This record gives sequence, C-alpha cells and structure tokens, in this order.
Amino acid sequence: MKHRKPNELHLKSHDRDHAHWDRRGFLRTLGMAGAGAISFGNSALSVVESPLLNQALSDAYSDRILVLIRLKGGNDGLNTIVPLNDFDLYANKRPKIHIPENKLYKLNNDFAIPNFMNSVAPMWGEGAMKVIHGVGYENQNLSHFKSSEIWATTTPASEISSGWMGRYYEGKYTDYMNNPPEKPLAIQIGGGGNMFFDGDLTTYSFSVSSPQRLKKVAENGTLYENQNNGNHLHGQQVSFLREASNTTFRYASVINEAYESSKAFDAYANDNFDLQMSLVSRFIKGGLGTKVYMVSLGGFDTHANQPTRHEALMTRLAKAIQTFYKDLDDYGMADKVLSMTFSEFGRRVAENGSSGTDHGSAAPIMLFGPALQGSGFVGKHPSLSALDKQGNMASGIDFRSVYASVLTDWLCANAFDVSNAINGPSHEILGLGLGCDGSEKLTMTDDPLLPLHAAVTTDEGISLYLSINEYANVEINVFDLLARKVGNTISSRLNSGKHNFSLIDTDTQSLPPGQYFYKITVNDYKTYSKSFLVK
Amino acid sequence: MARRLGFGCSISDINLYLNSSPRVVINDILDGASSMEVTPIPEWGQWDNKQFNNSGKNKSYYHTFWQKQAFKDLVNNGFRERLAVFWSNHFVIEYKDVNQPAYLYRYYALIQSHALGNFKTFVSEMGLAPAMLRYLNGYENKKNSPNENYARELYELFTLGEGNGYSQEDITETARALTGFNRFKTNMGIIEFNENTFDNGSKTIFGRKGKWGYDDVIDILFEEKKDLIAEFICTKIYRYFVSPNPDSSIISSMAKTFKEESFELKPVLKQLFNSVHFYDSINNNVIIKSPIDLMLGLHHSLSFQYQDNIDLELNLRNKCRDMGQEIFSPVDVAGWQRNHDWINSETLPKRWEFADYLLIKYWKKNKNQFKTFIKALVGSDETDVRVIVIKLKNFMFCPYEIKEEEMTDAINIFMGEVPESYFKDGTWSLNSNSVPKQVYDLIRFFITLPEFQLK
Repeated sequence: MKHRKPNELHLKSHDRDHAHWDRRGFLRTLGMAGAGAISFGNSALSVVESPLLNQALSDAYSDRILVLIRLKGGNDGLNTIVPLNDFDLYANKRPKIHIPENKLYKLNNDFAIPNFMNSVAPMWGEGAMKVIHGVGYENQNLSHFKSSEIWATTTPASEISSGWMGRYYEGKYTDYMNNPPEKPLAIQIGGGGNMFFDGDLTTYSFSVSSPQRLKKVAENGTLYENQNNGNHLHGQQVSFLREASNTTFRYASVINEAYESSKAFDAYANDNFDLQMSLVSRFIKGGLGTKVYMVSLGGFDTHANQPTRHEALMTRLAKAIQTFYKDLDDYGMADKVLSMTFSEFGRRVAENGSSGTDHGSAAPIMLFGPALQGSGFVGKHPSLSALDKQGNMASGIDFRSVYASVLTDWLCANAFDVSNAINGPSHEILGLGLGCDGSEKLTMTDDPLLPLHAAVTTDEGISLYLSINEYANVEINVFDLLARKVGNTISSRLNSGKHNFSLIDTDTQSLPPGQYFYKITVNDYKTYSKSFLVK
Repeated sequence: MARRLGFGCSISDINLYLNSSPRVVINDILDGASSMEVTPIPEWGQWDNKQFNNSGKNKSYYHTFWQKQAFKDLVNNGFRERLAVFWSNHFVIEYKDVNQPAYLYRYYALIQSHALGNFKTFVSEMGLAPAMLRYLNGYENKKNSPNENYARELYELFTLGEGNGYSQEDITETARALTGFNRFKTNMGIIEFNENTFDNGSKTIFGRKGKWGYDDVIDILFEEKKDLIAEFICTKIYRYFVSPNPDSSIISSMAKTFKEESFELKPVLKQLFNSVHFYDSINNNVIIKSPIDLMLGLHHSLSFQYQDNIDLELNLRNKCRDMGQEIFSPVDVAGWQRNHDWINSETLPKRWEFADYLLIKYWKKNKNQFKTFIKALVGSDETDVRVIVIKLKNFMFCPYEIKEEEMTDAINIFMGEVPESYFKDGTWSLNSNSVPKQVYDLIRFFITLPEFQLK
C-alpha cells in the first residue's frame, strides 16, 4: 500500500464547492509555485485572501507531526557535528577521542559527521536535515537532572513544575479535564520521567510501549468518577490516579486500533530505540492523529571509553532515523513528520583522562525530515577557544528559541500560545525552513548573509518573510514599476533568524493592482530584489 | 503501621502486634533489622573477570541470580530490605554498566550492613566499593587526568543535593583528592590504591586548603556541611516512608538527632516512626506504591501459597522490571523519582495485570486458601456481606472509605453468582463452596481500583 486513504473528516470540513480538491494536490500546487507566490487555476497570485484558502492552508498544516528524540545523558556535540574549520584545535583538545579526518563524512567544507552516522548522509543530500549550532542557555547547569528539568520547564526556577509542551496544551485546551480531545495530544514511548508534557493540572501525554496490552484495557477498563476527592494530599493522589486510569482507558482503544490497523515495517533493528521509532511510525500510519511524540535513547553520559560507546549510540540513532523516514516515505507521510534531537547538555571540549568527556554546555540540535526543504546549518558554531572557566563553549542559540520556532513554524502555534509555553528570556524565531503561512517555501543557502524572502498577503496587507543566518543591517524598500517608493521603508539591525515585516498596509496604503518590487539591502552593499503582485 | 514500614502486613503480623504498643513494635522491627545478618556470600562473590570467563556461564546468569536473591530477601526480610531498596535508589549503580557480578554482591552486602548504620561510614565505604568506582568512573579518576563524575554526584546526589553548598571548583578540587583508586589487583578483581596515580598536590575544598586525600574529603564534607547533609538525608527518608510533601518541623528535629548522634541512622528512624506525626491520618495513603511495594505488599499481606513449578523470584524480578523498577538498575544515577513517575498509561495496565497475575497463581495453587484467609480475617461466623466486604477492603487498603458507587460494585461482585435469597435465608455462609471464588473475585476487583496504588 503506497498511499493512505483520504482523510474523510478533513474532506467533510471543507466547503462543498471545493470538496474535489484534495489537500495533497493543493500542497503540491503550493510547492510548485515556490517563494510564497501561489499558482491557483490560471492566474498567478501572490496574495492569499480568500478565507477558504486560508482555511485550506491551515488544514494543510494540521496533520503535521513532531517527533522529539531525547538523547539522555548529555550528547557530545563535537563528535556529532565535527568542526572541520577548526579541526586542529578540536583534535588537539581531544587526542584520544577525536574522530580522525579519514573517518568523517563532510556535510560541507566546514562541518562533518562521523562515518558511523552515514545512514543519515542521504537525508542531508536530499535536503532533509538541518543542524542548529551551539544550542544551550546562559549559566549552563552541569547536573543531568537539573539541566533536563530546565530543558523541560524552560526555567531554572525550581518552583515551576510544568513543562513547555504541557503549558502549550494547557493554554490551547482550557477545558481538557472535562472535555478531553478524542486522540491523545502527545505520546511518549515508554516511561515518562520528564516534565515536558506536565501541565499544572495534568499530564498531556500518553505513555505506551506495549500497545497490544491496551486491547484488554479497552475491553475491560472503567471510567472512574473523579470529583470531590478532597484537597488534602490523599485526595490529590486519588485524583491523580483516577485521572491516569481514565486517560488510559479513554485512549486505549484508539491507540490499539491505530496500532493494529498499520503494518510493521521490517527494516527496523531489534533494539529498544528502533522499537520506539517503529511504534511511532505505526501510530502515524494507523492514522492516530496524535501530533507530538517523544522517544528517548540513553547512555550518552560518556565519562569514559567514549569512542566505542558514542559510536554505538550514534550508529543506532542514525540508522533508526533513516529507517523511520524510509518507512514513512513508503506511506507518503515523510513530509508530514519533523524529528528533532536534543540533550540536556553537550560535553567538555577537552577530553578527560579516561578517553571520555565531562559535562559540557552548548551542543547542536539536529532536525530531520523532508519538510525542512533543504539541508544546512542554523546559527554559528561556538568557538572552541573562547571557553568558560570549566572549559565549556558558549551557546549561541538559546534552546527556548528552538522550541518557539518549532511551535510557531511547525505546529503553527500562535504567539500567545508560544508565550504561554515558554518561560525565560525572550526567544527569536529561527529560520528553519518551516512555516505555517507559505514562508516555509524559503530555501536555505550557505551564504549567511543571503536573505531568503517572500511576500505573502495577510488580512492587513502584504508581509515580507525574511530569513538570514547572521546578524546584519537590513534595509527594505518597496517600489512600483516606475521605481517610485511606495509602501513602508524598513531599516533595522536584525538577528539571525526569521523576521516578518509589513510591506504594505491595506488600510492606509491603498495601491492599484499590478506589479511591485521590493528591494533588500544587506549591510549597505548586497542587494536583492523581487517583484510581487497586488491584486 | 507495620504496613508502612515493610511490605504490607499479613494477618499473622496483625495478630502478633495487636497486643503490643507501637513503640515496642517499632523497636522490635528496627532492632531486628539492624541485627540481621548479611546475605551469605555466593561462591562467586570474590571472583575476578578471569574466573567468570572460565566458569562456563555468562555474567547475565550471575546478575539474574543475584536479582532473584534480592527478591528472596525482600520476601523474607521485610523492613531491612525495604531500606536496602531505599539505599540502592540513593547510592545508585546500574549493574549492566558495572558488569561484574562480584562487585554487585559486594555493593549489596555493603548496603545491607549499613542500612541502619552510620551514614558517614556508609558514604565513605560506598565511594570505594568497586561497583561505584566503576559506575561513576572513580576508577578512571587519576592524577593528571581527573574525572569529576563521582565528585559531582557525591555532593549532588549522595550528600548535599543539587547546587546545595558546593561550587564547580569544589567538584574539580574534590575529584583531584579522590584520585588513586586506579589499579586492578587482577582484571576486574580487587581495586587497589595506587600512590602513583594519586594527585598529592594541594587542593581547596569548601575553603579548606591542604594535600587532601580520600578520607579527608569525607571528613571535610561531614564537618563543613553537616547541616546540609542532615537536612538532605532526613528529607529523603521522610519522603520515602511518610509523604511526598516534606514537613519541615519533623525533618528539622530528625536532622538535629542525626547530627547529635554522629550520623547514626537508627535513632533517626526510631524518632520518625515513634513520632505522632507518623501516625497522623493525614499521612495515610499518600505514597504511590513502587512496583516492588505493589507486588511484595500484595504477596506478603495475603501470604498465600504460590503455584509450584513457577519461579516466584524470577517472576517478581521480571514483572517489577516491566513496570519500571528493575532492581539494581534505576533509570539513571539519580534513581527512580518515585511518586507520580511510577504511574502512566504504560505502567498502569501492567500494574493491574501483574497484581492479577499473582492472584491467578495463588488460585491455581489452591483455591481454598482464599476461604481460609477470609475466615481468619473476618471470623468464620460472619454472614453480613457488607461487613465482610468492608473488612476485606480495610485490609487491602489502609482503612479509608472508598466511594459508595464502588462499594456497591464490590458487594455485587462479592455476591457474584450466589442467589440473593441465600444470603437472607441462611443458606450461605463462609463455609459455602462458592466462597473461594467470591473472595478471589473481590480481591481481583480491589486491585484494579486506582486507590490500590496508594499505601
């Protein structure tokens, strides 16, 4: 079976006149048009104005899935993404454990992965892998537990016991306890043990690793009345347990059905991590409709004997990711699934005396999935020489910006929900090549100053999406065909990442339909321009 | 009370303690536990790698053997082993990482012998236990190439708590002082101190400067940070035995005792278990059972015969592992976080299924033991169904009211297939043939109630 059946619910939600569009066809159309302009029927539009079209767009984004891959113990970023551009220093600091040059696969001239991660090399080649350099946070905590907690709660404040995904769901599903959604919002494969999905009221994820067992629960389970348990600790514990029982029972059948109605893919290896990935795939293929999954791979705390251990782990990880996308691809689902690795910290630049590394700080995050539409790097690799007192690197990108970017540009969360989810310092939206409004059609380049840009129509007028990979001075002007300045002039110092500016405000700047240009000037010397239509 | 100390409480325990004051019972249990012998050393308890390799069996055989032994001890020894589980979740090792069964044995014996002993000695010996030297890389911590793993966890997890009273510099300096335990007498045999890999330079730990070595680190730690240690450890004990919500006044009085008694554990435990606070009903049924609590508690409180030809210890080890608690293999060096972490939609169905599994094995062995049990619990002459159900409920759950709706279910389940009139006209009694099945069904119902996960 190559294609999954059309989603009937989705079709029902459409206006009858347009029921003959299938979403996939619509997306293809979007993709063909490129750069934010949309080819629609016979007319070239750069504007998205019909509410129907907006609805179709948001539907087109509604079946996106995020797979969070936790690398537990502190993954060594420097032996994952090896800095060729500083190779001598890297090798000097790690005489015993560096990956030698003849055992590297070059991603570009500056960075490489070890050969044992070759399984993901084809994904890099096909534009389905991005690496965010130097992710971490200020005042890195070197405790596994505290740092894992910080990655979950997004704050060092220990009185906060809810996680970012938990708060995101709590904000979105305010009536969750009385009116829970039909499908589990998130699934963790195997045990919980982290606070990502904990809200203040409840946990918004379902843990499963033996879906077969759920069949019996679905058949014999009971829903418990869960009111008036009292406010003392005993009552709270009873509420917690009754809620957990109810959740288990509530979702047992949909999960078991999704599992039973999908087929196993036989290329997965017989190990625990592959098993986790294969379960995620079966739930996705079985049409469960859950949007966020979390899997984990442990053993990254490589204080000793790192080369053998790290190689084994990264080989498994890379192979499992390759198999997972091959599996999904056969079902036409690969472009709907974004995977992201993360770890509580990286490791120290210099090796220790036991062929290992002690706890470090900044480390890369890897993203996988054809939806990324282009492989590349985001941010700057941290310096291997400008280290802190402990010999750790400085992070360039705060992990909260990564979360905010994924929420905003992959799960299509609005700014309010994102700010609910994420505590701590203000976050920026990174240019990951993702988006929920057509801006994801911006492709990546290797030139950090080359802006990626597209004009898109919004309710308020025409917006420009702009993405750069390095801090720069940017000026933007809008011209009509006679080279007269119209619309807004933007002049700004921009951080790396994605930005959105208003080019034309419909309310105040009513312009005749026709062709217009915008011109982007970067650091006063590089210019880029492009035309767009106002209808 | 005995239920909260050990693993559940059987009818014979209840009869034994019914006529004694709680203080006598507590002292009995604690003195009994502290005078209990360590589990005898197995034949391979001092083997090195070579001996294991020549034995014709791989190491996983010995590991499983010892995990089963631990369950045997849990079944037989009650409170002492419950404390041992506590300590093995405090001074964590993961046996697969250590990968030396004789080291596992020595670690286990160390825990058994210090479970109610002196905490400072315990810490000191634990740091030199070969299992720990392997697990947290003390073995790799050498002069010129320090490995700070153990130093960090010594403070963060074993004595002070995360970020509590130490700096990164203290860790780095402590790691240097802990160097030297780097030489195998034989491969994966005894680990010896090696003068040459010990860093004998000057170090500054908690502001004190000197050419410190291993014993100095422990002395300095227990001198400079006694308040923090006492608070940290007493809080952890409190949370394990009483409630996940620490009570600062009882903890500070425990901490005071702990310091005054030079970090002896038994006086602190006696104080806690004899406190009014411990018996306060507010602390009843607030702890979520660990998988081991769940299985051992059920097994011990019913004290039923188990189906022959089934390896009970192996079953317990496997089932607890599948519910997230493989003995000697906590999730990570911080140990199982307990409480809500035990429960999720993966583990909950297993808890229902595995508790039920035990009952099925008792049933298959001898269904009449269900009848004998209920008669001993409620008296042979009892015929009031509601009274029987309530008494069994009180036995299964530390007494507290379950909701009326479930009480009705429970009564209906207990009445089962028996015609209703039999209960009225005196046809039915606890001698009826239907009784074993009635009791069996009712217990099977009770174990699925969410409240059964509390103790």
